[in-house]
Amino acid sequence: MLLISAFTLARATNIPLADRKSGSDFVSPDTRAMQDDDTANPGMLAVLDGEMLWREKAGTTEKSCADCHGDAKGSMRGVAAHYPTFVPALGRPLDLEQRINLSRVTDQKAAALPFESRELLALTIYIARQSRGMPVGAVEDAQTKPFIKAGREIFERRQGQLNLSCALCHDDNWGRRLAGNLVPQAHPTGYPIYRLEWQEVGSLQRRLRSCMSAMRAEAYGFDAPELVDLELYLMWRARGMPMETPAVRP
Amino acid sequence: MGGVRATENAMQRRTAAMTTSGAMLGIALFMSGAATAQSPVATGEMLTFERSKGNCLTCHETRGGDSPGNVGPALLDMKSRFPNRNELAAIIFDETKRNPLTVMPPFGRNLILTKQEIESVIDFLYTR
Repeated sequence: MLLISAFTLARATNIPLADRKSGSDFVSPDTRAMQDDDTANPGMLAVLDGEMLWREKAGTTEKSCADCHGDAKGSMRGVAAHYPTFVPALGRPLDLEQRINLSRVTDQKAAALPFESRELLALTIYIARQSRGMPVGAVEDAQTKPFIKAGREIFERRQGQLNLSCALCHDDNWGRRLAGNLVPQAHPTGYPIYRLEWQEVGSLQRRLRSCMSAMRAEAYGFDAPELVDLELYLMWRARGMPMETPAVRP
Repeated sequence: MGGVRATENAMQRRTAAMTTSGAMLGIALFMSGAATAQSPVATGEMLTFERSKGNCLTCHETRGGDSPGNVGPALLDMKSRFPNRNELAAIIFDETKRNPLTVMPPFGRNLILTKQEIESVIDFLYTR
């Protein structure tokens, strides 16, 4: 039994770097056109929300993000492409949503924003928008290595009533169809995304959780370290690919 | 969506079948047997197409199914390809026993379908 599960973990074939494709290559031409046109991309409304929140004073310090970071177009350029990032004070990686909340609590002395709230999504998508077109900068080093490994183990582990792993679909069967839909390679280069099925913007954690529910597995809760490990592994797997936030998905 | 449509189709066919059998066999049988009048093949079709049950269509094409997938092979000529019913039942129950690397969910082992439901699915697949 042990041998079989070790074999199962080890077998998933990684997609060669040159064969990687963005999720945008798997959507319909209409959806792609919607993503590529800022005046048609519904995710841009959240970006505009985020731009306002960036300048809004919060917490007992009465400071806005802009009061310290200035114009996000300059100070936040390329930042989201490096998230999740290792935070030495915590000894573990945080994703962009968590990093925004850390700054709210420690710098602005404001309450953390709830995961998946309109405000947190708006700030995240606004910051991530400043990295559009820039390469994903996740690196494997002494600090990130154990967390990338942990994320990879979750990606390749069979789970849930359907006994599936993420890798069985997204490494081994991308380009085939599930219930009529093309299976993408799962490179999270466009998050937060506007998902037509949701009719709203959502985070990568939300997307990962809904994938787990679809496998009939118990999803990790929002903010769970396991989800951040998985996010980090996926971004490392997508290293060098261009950021596309806000992406539009079916 | 496809599952809902497929279920609607199956329900329409079932209703039509019940109407016919009601006319042919008499009102008494229709009234007492309406709930159990469904044939094993119709039950199997419902289980095969229903997203929350067998959900075969998500990965396999077959005749009459909307929005199929192609992660697994098409479910066609099943009787000639699997003349041994037990072999097909074993694949649906837990294909990981034969192939530990398969992507196919173990429908029996993980209690997605009962043994009886697997038999109904085979009844339906043998008509494809």
